[in-house]
Amino acid sequence: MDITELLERAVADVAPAERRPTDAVLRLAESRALGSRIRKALAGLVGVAVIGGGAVVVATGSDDTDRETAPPRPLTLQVDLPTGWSEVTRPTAVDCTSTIEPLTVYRDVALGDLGSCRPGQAISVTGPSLLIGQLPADVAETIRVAGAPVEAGGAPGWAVTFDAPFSYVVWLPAGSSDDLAYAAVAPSSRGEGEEPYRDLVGGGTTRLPAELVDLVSAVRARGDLATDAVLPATVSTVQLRQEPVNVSPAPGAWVSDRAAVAAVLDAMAPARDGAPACGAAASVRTMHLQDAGSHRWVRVDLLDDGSGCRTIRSELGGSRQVSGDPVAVAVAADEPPAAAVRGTERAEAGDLSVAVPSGWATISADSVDPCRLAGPSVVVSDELAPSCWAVQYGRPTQPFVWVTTSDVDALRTLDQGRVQPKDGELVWRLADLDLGDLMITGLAGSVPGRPGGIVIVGLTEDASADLRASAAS
Amino acid sequence: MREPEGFRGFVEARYPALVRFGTLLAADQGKGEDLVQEALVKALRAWDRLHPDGNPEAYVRTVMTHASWRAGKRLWRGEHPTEELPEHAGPDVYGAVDTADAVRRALATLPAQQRVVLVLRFWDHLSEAEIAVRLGVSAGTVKSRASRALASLRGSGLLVDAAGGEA
Repeated sequence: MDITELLERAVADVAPAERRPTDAVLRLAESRALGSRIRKALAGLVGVAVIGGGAVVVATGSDDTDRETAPPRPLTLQVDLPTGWSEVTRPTAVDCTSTIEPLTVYRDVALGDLGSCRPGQAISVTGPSLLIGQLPADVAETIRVAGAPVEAGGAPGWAVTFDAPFSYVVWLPAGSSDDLAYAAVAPSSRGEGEEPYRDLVGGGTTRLPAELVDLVSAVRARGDLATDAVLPATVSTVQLRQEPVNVSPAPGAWVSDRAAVAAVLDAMAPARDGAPACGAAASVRTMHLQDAGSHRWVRVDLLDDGSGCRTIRSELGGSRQVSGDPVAVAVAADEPPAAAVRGTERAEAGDLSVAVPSGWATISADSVDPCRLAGPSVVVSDELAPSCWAVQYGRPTQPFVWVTTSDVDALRTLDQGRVQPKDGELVWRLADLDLGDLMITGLAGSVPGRPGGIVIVGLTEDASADLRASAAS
Repeated sequence: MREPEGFRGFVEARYPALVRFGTLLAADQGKGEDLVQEALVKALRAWDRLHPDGNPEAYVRTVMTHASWRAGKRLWRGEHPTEELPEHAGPDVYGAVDTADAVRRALATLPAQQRVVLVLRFWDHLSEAEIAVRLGVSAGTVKSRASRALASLRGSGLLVDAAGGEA
């Protein structure tokens, strides 16, 4: 075989993975143009660094396109079409009333929230199919928060499964800025040739046709994907999620002391060069790191292979074998948030009021995003507009108290038990509140039959006792 | 981003061939397709002078070639040229494993600049002088890169008839 034939053989089976290349190129060009506009905007700025109390001009920008750094390449998901399967490339919306063709790859799907179909409502599916497309932002957030850590298209990611009334697994790769995801869907049969889908901790129990398992394992995420774990530049607070009781009970931790936070991050330093690679994950814990700049909470999963070899995977992308045990360090440094009521300052809305704990901020605004609070706060507002899914065991928030004239009772979707009636007036319940697209769990206090309420989030019953005692109507 | 007249037709018609070219340059289909898309973005910006009187395909291939050549001065993300070829390489490799994949893996063991010269010489059928002009290097550089690449592939057992081995 000569060299020309050798080269021909090398590409004999090559077919473009991108089915709509012109659209892909136009999107890429647009993202490049946006990056360039941002850089040009920044180019005129003068950087100022404060050193020892003095200000030093450190840089002025210039727009040198030859040296500019390209913005991240958008993530795409691709898979080759198996023999005997069909594909649908036109944009397709899939919701709880959709009919899915069997043995079909849908390449451009607007995926609805199939996990929230009403009773008696379900998609119609008669055979295995693969859906690739975008998730609504709120659904993507719930998967990022509650999903089991997985390899998703060759990148760190999360998966959520259920198999009634149909089998369904949805994978969301990390680094997906537009919430790109893929889903396997199949009838809930229990025939031969089916395999249990297993996530990293073996929690997945959904069974899928073997050919569908093969297909989803061939999905590949492409784009500028980080290799090393990306962590916030500066971390203000660390939360180690308490694992649910009766599943794998394990203590959580809250670390906000600067030195203790640094110790946790030190334990996430890369393992030494040449360290043996970790084995398969035997257990997983989830931490959240709050970015001191944006106040966003970033999920970091810690995988342990059972022999003390640990790896972290970041929501911001990438993974890393680490040198220490961040979980142990966090547990040792745990200092649960408290709400000591000392002064006389109060916050009020309508005829409800509550004491402002010492050291807490007070925020008054029409609408507040509780997921971006810089520190413990009393929030007086008509509306909470969370950008995160902060249900129990979900994404954390800084502890806060919401004082509102809005009807808190109308927001409750799931009471988790009465906590403490007080003088026949304010009744407190641990409840999930439906705040539009996303939900939040808190101790909700209200007066039956009257609008308004006080909601305490991020504090235990004990830690919130003084606050509840201070509430008045 | 505005879609200029003729751009979609060009991309849809030539994309598969460009992906094969990119796959050879990068020895990886995914990276090769990335290479094509990046080059097409540049072609899009230059479309007014490439269409209808220019040669957009030559422009795109040149951009891809230069990008691959420059990448040879640093490692691609994840690309690690090795001294040793994959274990599966051997005289009967075609009967044992997927052929195309085996050849791509062998190509991937070559340094990027050797691979670029090999592709231009034996896929695009350019002369050494033409390659030297296109890459802005000496003919001697082209000759030495091609010679080393061919020697490596012969050592792999994949290249059993070294036609063009004079390169």
